[in-house]
Amino acid sequence: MNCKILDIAYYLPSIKITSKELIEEFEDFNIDKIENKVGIKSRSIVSSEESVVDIAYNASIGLVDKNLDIDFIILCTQTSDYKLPTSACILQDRLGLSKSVGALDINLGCSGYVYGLGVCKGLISSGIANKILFITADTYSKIIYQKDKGNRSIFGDGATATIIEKFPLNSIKEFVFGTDGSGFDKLILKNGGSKFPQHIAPLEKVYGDNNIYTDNHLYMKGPDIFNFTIANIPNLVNETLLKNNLSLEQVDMFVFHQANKFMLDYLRKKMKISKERFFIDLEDTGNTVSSTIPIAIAKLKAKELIKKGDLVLLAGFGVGLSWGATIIEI
Amino acid sequence: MNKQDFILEVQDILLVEESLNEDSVIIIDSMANLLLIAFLDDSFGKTVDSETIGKVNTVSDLIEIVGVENLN
Repeated sequence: MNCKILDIAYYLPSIKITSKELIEEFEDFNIDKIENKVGIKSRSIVSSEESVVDIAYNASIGLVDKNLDIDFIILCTQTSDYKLPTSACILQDRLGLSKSVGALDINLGCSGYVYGLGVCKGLISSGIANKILFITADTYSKIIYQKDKGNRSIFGDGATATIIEKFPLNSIKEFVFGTDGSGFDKLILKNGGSKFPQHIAPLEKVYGDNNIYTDNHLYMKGPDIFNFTIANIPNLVNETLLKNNLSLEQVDMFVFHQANKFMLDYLRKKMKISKERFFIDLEDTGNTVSSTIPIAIAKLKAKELIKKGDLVLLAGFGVGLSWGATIIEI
Repeated sequence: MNKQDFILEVQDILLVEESLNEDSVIIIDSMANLLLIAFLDDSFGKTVDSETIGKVNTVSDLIEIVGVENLN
């Protein structure tokens, strides 16, 4: 049995942090760099009372009301409400879904949406599920150190909900995945897991352009992530096209993980994809981790830049290091 | 690409007003680090990590990464 994406919704928290506000906090904040090169003017963040389950609920509830026959919930997050239990279980109850639904969390970041689609396709094609609520949600603002101007300027919080259901035609096509765990420390929250406990008074460390973080918080080695991306993503795209027997020209739209405008533009030029067929828009959201791709699809649909029957190549890449791509038919 | 064009490209990436030469000391912030990684990948097919770029003090250090033989 095949499957298709029935609907996508997203939720961005109401607190907006503009670049101008960041200048007030960081004297050396380079607004030109962030707004024009990285491509972010504002980012949404959750309040101290809001959690991943809350924003996941807000993204999902409208779709749940229209799809009461959901029989599986998958939540992709790295900032779960609790170490345990699984946040997807809490969402089953919060969303008022039947106790017969299956529920699980996936711990992945920027490649998470593509991986999640792969898991959904597997569950449906094997007859285990018929209609899945696949949610992406993260609150990176809660794991970024207050003095880390780099990461605070890049990441935004957000959540998306996608309904994937059984369908006679194959609308979610073939996948290519990849992993390089040797780069696990390029994007990492070191303390607080089973290997290193959280420090009560962690040491402040400096990286990049006077960004300050601690091992209790998120650390990202941006240039190395960039190098990983330009070394791997063009191949990922080519392999995905090959696996789907398509040429670059046959794809109507390319939606990559919206990490950084400069990086996306560089990848686009390297792969010789025209601007019109390559989506870049993180101006008002920042990098929302596993939510960037579904937000992009929803925006493309809303702006009528993609239409029924279009082929869209999705590519996610980042923390892990992990990457994945597929093609969907709208 | 010849050496002069290379230096002009570096000047452009670093957004410096004055003319650079091989002995010029350069300051590379995180964005310039990314731009240089992209430039070296695109123009010379060189994968250079951020530590290597971070150790660069002068234009000639960058020329050494590219290899003077590749700038004719």
